[in-house]
Amino acid sequence: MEGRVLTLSYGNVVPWITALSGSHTVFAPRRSGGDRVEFAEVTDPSSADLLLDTHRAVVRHLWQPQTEVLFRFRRSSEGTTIEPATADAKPRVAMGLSPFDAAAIRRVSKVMASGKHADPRGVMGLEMGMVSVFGPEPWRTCYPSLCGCLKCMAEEGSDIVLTPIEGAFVANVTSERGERLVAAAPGLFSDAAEAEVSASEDVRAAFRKKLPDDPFGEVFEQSPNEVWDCEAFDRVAERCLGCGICTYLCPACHCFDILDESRGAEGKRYRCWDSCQFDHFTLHASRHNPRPVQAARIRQRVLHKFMYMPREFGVLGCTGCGRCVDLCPAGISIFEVMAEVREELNAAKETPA
Amino acid sequence: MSAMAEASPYIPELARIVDVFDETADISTFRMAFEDETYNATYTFDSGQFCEVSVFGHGEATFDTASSPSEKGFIEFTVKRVGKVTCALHELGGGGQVGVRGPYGHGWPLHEWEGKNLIFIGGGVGLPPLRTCYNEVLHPDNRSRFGDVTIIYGARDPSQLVYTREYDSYRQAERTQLHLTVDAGDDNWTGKVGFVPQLLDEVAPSPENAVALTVGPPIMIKFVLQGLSKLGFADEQIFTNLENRMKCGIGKCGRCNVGSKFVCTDGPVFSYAQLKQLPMDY
Repeated sequence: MEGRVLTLSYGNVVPWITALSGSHTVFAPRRSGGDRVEFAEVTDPSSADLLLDTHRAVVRHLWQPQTEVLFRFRRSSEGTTIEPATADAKPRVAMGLSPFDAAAIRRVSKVMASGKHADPRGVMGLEMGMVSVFGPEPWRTCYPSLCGCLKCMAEEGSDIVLTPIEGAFVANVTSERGERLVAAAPGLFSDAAEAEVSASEDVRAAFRKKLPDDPFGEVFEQSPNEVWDCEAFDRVAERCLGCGICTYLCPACHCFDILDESRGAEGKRYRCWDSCQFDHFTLHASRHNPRPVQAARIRQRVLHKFMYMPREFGVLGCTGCGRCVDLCPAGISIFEVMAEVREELNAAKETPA
Repeated sequence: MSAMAEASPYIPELARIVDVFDETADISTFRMAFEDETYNATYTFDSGQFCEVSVFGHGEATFDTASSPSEKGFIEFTVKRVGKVTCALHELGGGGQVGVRGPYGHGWPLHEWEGKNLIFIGGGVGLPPLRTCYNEVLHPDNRSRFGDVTIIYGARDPSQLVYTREYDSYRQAERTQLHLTVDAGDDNWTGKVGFVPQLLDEVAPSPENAVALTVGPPIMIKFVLQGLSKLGFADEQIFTNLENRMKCGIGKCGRCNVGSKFVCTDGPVFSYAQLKQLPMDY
């Protein structure tokens, strides 16, 4: 399960990315002014840095662009012509992600690719190569939904897991796709020595130790109606700004809007990220809104991730990366909201009606 | 399906508005035919399914198909002028070109209702998803497979009643009843005045070997459900159609969640028994 173990010296990272760039569209972290880090398509391999802290970098666009043209149209006296957007010709590789993000992307892609009508971006997310980097430090607000062992990483999303040790990455190649990514750069990888393997295990063990111990990842087993009127949602709604940043930063969110833009006879239909935290998300043309208050929208976010996705797809809609907790301007933690909901449910159970 | 639509589920088929029937001052029925003749001739759907209709440059909106699957060569949508896309569709009018994606969702489970009496209870512009169904049932090819048909329909006032041109055919049809009411009459109205749930109480259809379908404004649905229960209809005998806002229609864009269900892929048709399992997110 832990796959073939190789080493890649830090000096060989750029040559590897260069070798992959010919046949793949490669995305990797780079600095984008100040201490900002972003995932961008690699045009200059030397600007890619797989050891950058990607905590504040958005990853959703790796499989679903923030704005994506679905097709262009042109109207004339003869009628409308539709020109579909051209798909990426090359396979895509995302490098330097945290294992949390690789797992989240694979989960959400599975949701998008399932059902009667597969979403092409979901299919791409399933087929995309993912090279994740383990550590060295967990992010401050990470939760251990991934237990931290290599088995989970591999099963969840990563094709290659890189663990940084002195002078090199130890690369656990955990899938066929990972093998192909290694084979694209002959000579850059070498078999890992025993000391290197054990050094990488130490790094991962240290990483795991730094994650909090409190349980996370527990699914709500109740029916939606049992949880529906919890006051915890109302309390947190009083603090929530409704800005939607939690959903835009989330690597496991997938909601989008579809819109037209046109000028004269020409135009385009595009989709762009949307958020369940906005009131217009569910607003009917009649002005009826099934989720008219922020408490209802917060409830939707919590239950979608921790009740609906587990029920419909067998996975949590969260891998515990903690971005939404760390970057919420109102200091709201989805994990605290859940804890409050559980507390309320337990209290209700103990108090006879 | 065209090759383009196969590549992406978000690409609509081109269709043309071949006829427009003005129902009320702000509601019209748009009859559309697909530009691709083969596609148009082979297009099939179940009554109760919906489509995403595009007015290019203005966007897409979700409409239940209002015509019957037994009518071939065209599909109809009854649309109230209320938002951006619906207004654009009204402006476009006859001859205009649109896009259509679908059919999507699960329609009325008609195959389970053979031999049963069907009661249709509609309000206002909630009638289209019922009309597709009763017109299919009343079609000569299908009529013998079903029991009595009762249509109970009401609107705010006489000017708000839709499909008035079809009423006479229901009045003349065998084993078929049409009951109309309006919240408030006018000088010419000689029919009943009152709310739909009151008319339901009066008509008092028997629950025996029957199924009731109801679509309309939420307040009407609430009291119709109560009325049906009072008449002895079990939750499994009552069906409705949820109208959550949608964009993709195929379970991806996330906005029509009701509990763990998506209205677009798990509905839009739900039995009252199913509805009771769902939270009030509609």
